[in-house]
Order: sequence, then C-alpha cells, then structure tokens
Amino acid sequence: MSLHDVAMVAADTTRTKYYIEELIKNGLSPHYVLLLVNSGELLPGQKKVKSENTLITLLKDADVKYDVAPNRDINSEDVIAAIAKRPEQVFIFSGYGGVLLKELILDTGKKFLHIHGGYLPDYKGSTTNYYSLIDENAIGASAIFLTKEIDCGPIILRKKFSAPADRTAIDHNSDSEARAKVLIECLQNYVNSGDWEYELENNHGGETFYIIHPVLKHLAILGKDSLQ
Amino acid sequence: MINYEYTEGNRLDSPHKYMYTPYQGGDFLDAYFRDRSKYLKRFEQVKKIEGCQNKVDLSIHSKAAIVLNSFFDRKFSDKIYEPLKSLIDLDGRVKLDSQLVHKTNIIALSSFDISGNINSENLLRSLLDAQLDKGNKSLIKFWLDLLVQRFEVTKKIYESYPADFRKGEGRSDIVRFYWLFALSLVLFYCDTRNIKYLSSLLKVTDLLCSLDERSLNKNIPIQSLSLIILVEMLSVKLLSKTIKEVGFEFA
Repeated sequence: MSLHDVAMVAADTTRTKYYIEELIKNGLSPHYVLLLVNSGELLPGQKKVKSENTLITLLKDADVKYDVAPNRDINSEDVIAAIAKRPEQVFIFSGYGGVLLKELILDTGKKFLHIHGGYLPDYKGSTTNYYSLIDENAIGASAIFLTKEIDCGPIILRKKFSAPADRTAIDHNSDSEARAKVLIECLQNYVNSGDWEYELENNHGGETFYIIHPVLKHLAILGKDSLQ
Repeated sequence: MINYEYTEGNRLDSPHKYMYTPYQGGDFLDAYFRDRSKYLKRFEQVKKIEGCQNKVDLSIHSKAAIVLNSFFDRKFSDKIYEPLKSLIDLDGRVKLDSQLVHKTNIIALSSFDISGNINSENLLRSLLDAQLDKGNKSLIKFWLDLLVQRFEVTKKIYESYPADFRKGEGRSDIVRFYWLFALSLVLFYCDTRNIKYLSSLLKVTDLLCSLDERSLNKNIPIQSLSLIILVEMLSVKLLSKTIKEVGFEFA
C-alpha cells in the first residue's frame, strides 16, 4: 500500500533510512520520493559516505517511485520546481541537519510534514532532546507542518519517550527512532480519519534552544536520571 | 589525555560551530574542569598587573558578585569560599558608590524599541541593571533571548543591531561586550536554572578564555571573568552530582 497524496523529499541520512524502513514496514510507503543527491563529502547528519546508496536499494526493493534531485539543496530553484510539479500535496520532509526551508519552497502551496526531535511547544530549536534528558530524563518528537516560523507550525501529533538505554547514539539512533514512531502514528491517523487532525494547532510559546554545548551533552549522556 | 579543544586558538577569529560534537566519555568532563581551572590560575596571575580601571565595570562586577554570592551560599560547600572571597571583594576593597557609578547613563530596559536600531552596549548595561535590580523578568528574557539568538547564529556580539534585531552591524571584536553578555547569562541562569542559558554561557566563556589574558585584563575586570567561570564550573558540578564518572572536586 502507498499513500497516494503523500510524497517525501529526503536527504541521504541515517534518519531518512529509519523513516523509509519504518514506512515500508508499516505499509505506509510514500507515493513518490525525491532524493537529495550527495556529492561525496560528509554533510551534517551523515555518519559516513556510503559506497552504495542504501536508500535507493530500499526504495527499489519496495517498488517505491523515486527520482534523484538535480542537487542536494532543497531551497534551490531546480529542487523547488521538481517538488512544485508533483501532484502530491503533502511531502514528508527529512533534510540534512540544520537546513531550513525558505520562503520560496514554502510558497509552492505544498505542505511539508516534519518530525521535530523534541516535545513541542516546550522544546523548540536544535538538539532539544539533550536538554529534555537533563530536565526530565525523557526525549520527545512532534509532527508538524512547516511554516515560516521555525518549529511553530500546527502540531499534528507529539509524544514523549523514556530515556534511551544507549544515550551515546542519540544523534543517529534514538532521536531518529522516536521521530519515526511519531511519523508512523501520524500517518496511520491520517489513513484512518482521511484528514490531518491537529493535536495542538496553536504552537506558540515554549522555549527555543540552540545546539547544546558539549559539556552539557556529556552530562545528558552520562546522566541516569533528571539532573535538575 | 583528552584535550578540551573549545578554548584552543582564538575563538573570536575562528568560532566553533559546536555541531555534532563527538562523545568522549567522562574524561571529556575532566578535561573541561582542568581547562577552566587552568584559566582561573592564569587570570589570578595576570590580575597582579594593573588592569581594567573602568569604574562602571568595576561597580557592575561588585554588584553582580554580591548577587552571585547568594547563589553560592545556598548551594555550595565551604571549600569554594576562599577563592570566592578574593573575587567577590567581600571586604569591600572596591569602595565605589556602586549604585551611583553603576547607574550612570543607564537607559531603562523598557525604553528599548525593537523596531529601531539597538546599541549593544546600551542594551547590555540596561539588561544587567534590570537583572541586578530584580527588574521585570519577562522583559529581561525578551531582550536576552534576542542576544542569545544572534550570538548562537554568528558566535558574535556586534556593536549594534538594526530594526527587528536583524544581522548585526559594526565591530564584533569588542571583548567587553562578551564579558557583559556572559555576566548577564550567568545571572539569568542562576535565577532561572534554565539550561539553555548555561549552554550559551559555556560557549561565551570558551570564547573569552581563548583570548590573550593580558588583553582581557586591560579590557574587562578579570576577577569578574574568574567569578563567571567559577559559577559556571559549580553549576556543571551541581548538575553532575549523580554522575559517578565526574570525579572533579574543588580544592
């Protein structure tokens, strides 16, 4: 089964791999995937450059239609044009670390479904799961439609999760796992109801966090409980 | 032995982005405490040379020190009292009329307007004045958050910010601004215990420690930076109290 009106625009990251594997496993494959190409160097959010693109292998094996984008910049004219011409109205967005969608792409009229690593609206911004581990020994993930204001789009679904057993792999595993769980539940809800229902439409307020300092990151990893 | 790389080089010239920093285990925290202790010792040495004599800055330090002292009183053991005493000037060596000197030319924080140009020095002094006088907390947070956002994006504090606090303008190498900003952050963290401000503080302190200590001594009250570092270290130590891998003790 595939979601006929849901596509995906995806960077070559471990998070995208988690997403695609879970989508396929749960019978929620996107109708189409636009892959942002990798020119070879290591990018934020990537562990290593793969000799063989596992995303393409995954998509081929699951018979999911895909294209490789003309470049890896989601805000470039070529990529925007490729997205704009697609019939699907909703794109699951799984980008490279730190990349934000600019006005031009948000103005295409498409909706971009993003799973934020953090419980919204309390934890906006970057590396928020390290902050929430320190504050409350938990991590979170929230499904939102992207808007011009960062992490302020309407919340479709949000969840808190217990602290992972292995805290050293948060960047590449636990955070992605939590986000993938929310993505799947969010899409299942959509399939069941036939509409995007919001858990919290007004996603204002909360706190905006910035990349956590390595000293605090170490405390979050080494801690076994809330440290506050 | 792990090196604490974040104070290496000159972090004004080569800022660290702090993206995807590697996990290095409990040894990394030891490296952090060792590195900060090294700077405390260096600043203690350089303090003997005549440094910053700016009365306004000395009075800001004195007032901030009294506020921060209450943070220590509540939370920390006697071990820290001796080094602290020399930084806080509890015996009143700085016999300035703190209120008068500190209040000179201060603009009320409520007078700043985000739709106009913001002078960073005026804003930082007003922020600190409001913080030290227990001013309106939401107004303090509003302006401090704008500075935090700009600093986190660029790792710089510019001389001024145009309407809507957009991209900074003018010089970004005025050491005094980074000290005032660090002081504002440490006061706000002690007041709110919001880790976000401790994270930014650690980055500003990394930057300040990476600069030449003689130049620091000329431009800012170096004892104030020592005090900021001490509060920062104690805050980290307090957060790590249940983590057995953190063996550092103040002696």
